[in-house]
This record gives sequence, C-alpha cells and structure tokens, in this order.
Amino acid sequence: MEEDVLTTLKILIIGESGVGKSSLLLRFTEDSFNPDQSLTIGVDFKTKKLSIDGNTVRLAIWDTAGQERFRTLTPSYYRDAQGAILVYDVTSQATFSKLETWLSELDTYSTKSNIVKMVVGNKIDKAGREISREEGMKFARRHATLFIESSAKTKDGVQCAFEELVQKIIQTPGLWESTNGGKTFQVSDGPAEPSSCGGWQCTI
Amino acid sequence: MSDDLPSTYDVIILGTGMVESIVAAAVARTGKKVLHLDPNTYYGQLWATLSLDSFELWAKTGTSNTKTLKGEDSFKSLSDKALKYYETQDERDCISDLTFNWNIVEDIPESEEEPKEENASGNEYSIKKIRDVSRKFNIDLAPKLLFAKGPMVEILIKSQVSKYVEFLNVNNILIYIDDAIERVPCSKSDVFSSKSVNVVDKRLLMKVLTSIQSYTEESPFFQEYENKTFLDYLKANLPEKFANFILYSIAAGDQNTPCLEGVQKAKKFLSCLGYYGNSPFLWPLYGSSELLQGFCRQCAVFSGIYCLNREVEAIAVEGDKYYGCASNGILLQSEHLVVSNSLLPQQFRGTGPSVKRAVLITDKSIFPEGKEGVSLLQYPTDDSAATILELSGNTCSVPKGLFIVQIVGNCLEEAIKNLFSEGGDDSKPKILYSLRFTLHQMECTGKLPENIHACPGPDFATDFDAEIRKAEEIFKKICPEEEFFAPLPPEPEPPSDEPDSPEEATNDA
Repeated sequence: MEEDVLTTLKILIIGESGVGKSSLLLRFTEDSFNPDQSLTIGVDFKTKKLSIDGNTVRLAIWDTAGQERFRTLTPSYYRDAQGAILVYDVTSQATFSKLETWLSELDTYSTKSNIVKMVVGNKIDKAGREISREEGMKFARRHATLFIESSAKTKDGVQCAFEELVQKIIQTPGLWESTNGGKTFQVSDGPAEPSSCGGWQCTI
Repeated sequence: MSDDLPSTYDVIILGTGMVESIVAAAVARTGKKVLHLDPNTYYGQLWATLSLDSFELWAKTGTSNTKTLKGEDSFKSLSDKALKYYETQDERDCISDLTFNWNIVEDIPESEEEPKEENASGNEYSIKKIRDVSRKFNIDLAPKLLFAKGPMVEILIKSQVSKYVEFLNVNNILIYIDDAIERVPCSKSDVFSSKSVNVVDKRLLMKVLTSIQSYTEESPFFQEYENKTFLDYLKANLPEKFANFILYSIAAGDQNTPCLEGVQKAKKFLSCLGYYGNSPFLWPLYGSSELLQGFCRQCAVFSGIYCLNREVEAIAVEGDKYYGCASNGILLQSEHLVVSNSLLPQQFRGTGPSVKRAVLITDKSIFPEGKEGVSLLQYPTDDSAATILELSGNTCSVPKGLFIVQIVGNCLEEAIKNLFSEGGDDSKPKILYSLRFTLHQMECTGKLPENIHACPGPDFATDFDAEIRKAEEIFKKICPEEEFFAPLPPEPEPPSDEPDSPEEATNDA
C-alpha cells in the first residue's frame, strides 16, 4: 500500500488565534468548512496524499491544538517539520503584524534550517480588508517565503497553497530524505512477542 | 493579553513536570476543563530539556531561592469570600551546591582556526564554537529511560501520545569493573557470542539468567535466600565478575539489595529484551521532555488551555477545601488543583532525599568500540553506585562529534576522575564543560486539602515507573469512575471525495 508514496512530509500551520488555521486544514484535507469553528477543539494532525509532478507524498499537517493562544507551542511541535504555513487574516492588521514573531519562533525551534515557509493571507472572502495583496507579497519577499491569498470558506487558493509548498519541499535538496538512517522507531501495540532470540522468552 | 483566561475550570494544574503532564492529558481526555500553568518560559520544570544557551542560563540562575513573600493581605481584595491564602514557593529550592565551568578556551583566533572536522580532538573546540550550535543541544535536567515493556511505554501506546515521540535503543549496557569498562552480556545471544566469557562461565551465566527469567513467587530456587542479599545468591552461583554484572547492570541494585527484590528487578530487565531490538531500554530522540510535551499536546487537543511564564502566587483555601489560585491579580477557580511538590507553600513542603548529579560535554565516547547512540554505564564503588548515561550525536541531543554525559550518584566524583580527563590524557574523553549540583526531592509534609494533589519531582530511578503510578493515583482521585487513558472512540469517518485513498483523510487522533 505504501510503495507509491515517496515520503511523509510534516507540515505545520501557525499564526495568531482566529486567522483560520484549522479551517484551512479541514478545507484541504476534508473539503469541509464550519463557519462556527471558533476555537480549535480536537484537531491534532491530519494526513492526506498529494501527487505533484508524478510524485506522491503523504502530508501530515499539524494544527496548533490551540497552544498558540498564549504562545505555548511545545518545541516538539516544530521538530523535523519540512514545511510551515504562516497564516494571517487579511481583515486584521494585528494578525499580520504578529507574523514577524511567528517567523522568529519558527527559526528558533525548527530543526531543519532549510524548512520551506509559506505566508498565507486568509479570509479574502470577507469584507473589510486591512492588508492588501501587495503588502502581503512584500512581506513574503522580504523574508524569502512563498506567498498566496486564500479563503477556506470559498476554497480559493487552498489547494494551490499546499501544492506549491510541497513542490518547493520536494525540490529542496536534503530536506526530506531520512536523516537518521532509519534507526529511530515509534512504540506501538506490536510486537507482542520478542522479535528475535535477543529476548529470554524464546526457547532455543 | 494575560487575562482573557476564563476564570473557572474543573482542574488547574500548576507545573509542567512529568506527573503533572500525564495527569493533564488523562483528565482532559475525560472531558474535564483543564488549565495548565507553569512559572517558567519552557515546559518541564526540573524535567526540562534545554538548548545549551537555555541550559547555561538555567545554571546561572543558580540556587537562589527564598522567594519574597507578599503577605496574605495582598490577596484579600481578590474575593469577598473568607479565604486563606498560602503563597507558593520556588522550584529552585530543589537545587543546591551548583557549580559549572568551561574547560576550553573562550575563542580561537581566526588565523589559527582550521576547518572543523567531526571527531576533532578537544583542543580544537572553543566555547564560542560550541555556543554557536547551542540549538543542536537538548540537555536533560532529569534524563530517564523507558523499559521496553514498562508502564510508560504501555501508557504511551494506550494514550496514543506515542505518535509524538521517536525512540532509539540504548545500545550499550556497560559496567565499570576492575578499572575498565566492559559490555554486559544481557541476552542469550550476547552470552553466546561474548568473546570475553569462557565456556564454563557461559554455562553458569546462562543457568542463573534463565532461573531469574523463569522466576515466579513459587520458585523454590530462591527461597533459601529469602533473608539474604541478591549478591549472596549471585556469588554462590557465579564468579564474582559476573555476579557484579547482574547485580549492578541488570538489577540496578547494590550490595544490600535483598535477594527477592534483586531477582524481580533483574527479571524485569530481562523480560524487556527483544521487543525493540536487543536492549531493554528506550531513549526518546531529542530528550526525556519530549514525553511530557506529548502529554501536554494531547491535553491541548482535548481543549486544555496552556499558559507558560505564568505564576500562581498563592493557593486560596476556603475552610478545609482548596478554592482557587491567585495569579496575576485575578482568582482562577477550579474543583481540583494538581501541583508540583516543588511549588507547594512552605506550610506543606519538606525536603526529602537528595542525590548528586553532573552533566558533562565531552569530545569522545567512554566506550568507542560500542555502537553509536546511547550508552548506560553502571559505576559501582564500595558503598554506592553511579549511573552514567552517554548520548552521542545521533540522539539529536548534542552536535555530531560531541557527547553529553549525565551522571547520577553520590560517588560521581570518583567516576568522573577515573573515566574522564580534564586535559593531558588523550586516552580518556576530555571534559569540555561540566556542571554539578545536588538535586533534592521535595515532599508534601503537611495535610493538604483533599482536592489538592501534589506531584513529586524527578526521583533517582532510571525509569518512569513511579511517575506513571503516581499520575494514575491522582487521576483516580479526580475521576474515580473513569479508566486511566481509556481508549478513545474511533473518529467518525469524514466525507471524502478522494477516490484513491478514502482512509487518508481521517484524523489520526
């Protein structure tokens, strides 16, 4: 089942509370939108396969679980991420101004120095825009990040944002290849029995 | 921004240590509303894992304690109720006799500087060079290992917090004996393949290890040793060297360990072999505090609110019941308070046992012929033992070419003297940086209101077994009807228009 998947990429979504991080995530992974999604509840991370230029990758997209509210994301949240989406609300200057802080947080904690960043101006369907497209683009250019505007509500730009980000990650040498020689592992229900005669249970 | 915090909760948790964090996840999963606070800017308190910069800052903050108390009157305005306020204390009281120093030059002038290679000898490191890669360090204040089949692994799997953490095997189980470091043969295949054990000794060793592994309470084999030490048993059946292997490395015991206790501990070690490779212990990539961060994240996924850098100045008590927490000029209320022992008000806090600890940065492995990764070395002396954990670059705790050495035990100076060099002796790893301190365990001594639950800080054991037990005990008091980390109902299948992979879009939570 896994043979067609090139690799799994860890993508983070960060930004101020209420800019629509979970909505972008849910729109992209489930094509759903809930206008009443007020505070992040129960969203951990979601996975989705994506094919770009003939390569299929599995994305694990991590939500903040609300820990961004008092800027208390754990360092472990940032570990080994290959891509980060920094979201602001185009109708809120305050969320745009905070991007600098989020970028520096990302620089502090990301373990891959060449992590691909994308700035996303969300909620372009809403009236009362405070940040123009040009301003957003200028910011992105200054910080050498990708840029797109989106609306999780109308789907505008959502698919495109993830596709561009993934494309850039795949093109970045050394970013997504396994670094630890496959020596690390996660614990799981199996193996129920010792896997080899390394143990004492097996009879020789 | 601070005070858009809601003012009432089911449970307020004060401190992000290991026990507190496990409790946080466990109670949040049952639907309880949790507020989790920590006075520090980082997770974990005395269980934290820090970058070199943060670690040096932590060391400089030192042991300075005696928090200035504000006096009860300063809280009276927070509520009309007749509340008694107990002021919290500082976790730094757990640390004493802290010293640290760099054993290398501040900087190397540009002209002399050669391109740095891995495995460069200690002389080529400078403080500046090492500080430049500060973030490649993840230094644990309380490093601990997981038994492959122990309670921590069981809870990680049950809770699914396991998906946040990656592990490495502890590759080298070592002992310092007769002035040399030796690999301890632990598994059957180790004993078979060991070149340093002759055929007769192999047979004896095999017999003893097999009896330990098959021990049950009815085992007649050990009954004659009921009132004797484990060492008595081992010495009666094995040459002294192998008796020591088993006593110190496999049973993590000492000369006074009673026979049955030793047998049980050794059996636990042996029964953890083979599940995740030929090692009974796992080590979390990036350090021990990854575990507690995973539990905190799970609490947040279940709507727990997190606020670091946020102190609770005083605990408010109404009659004989805890009422709320005075924090930053407001009163936060909850049914239960879970609090780190280290922060308990002086009326309730006493100092328990202590142990010496050291953290070294070195330029060479203590056991270069071993596998790269994590090594555990027991260093027994006549009256006590030191436990030494060495981490190499592939643990993500230290830059490649350097090593972090964590030492616990009151005889650590002797171990340091014999195993490491301060310079001059190239055969031993050179100490580039060292930090030493005494870690005191705080205990809850007074009678707390029954809805306050105190959590111990790091103990001196190698594993997390006691922490899991304590977290479950506290959980049972808060949620007496609930199972500890009961499995979650499966996530409802979301609508998906992806024909190729209907299962891909489901939440992994």
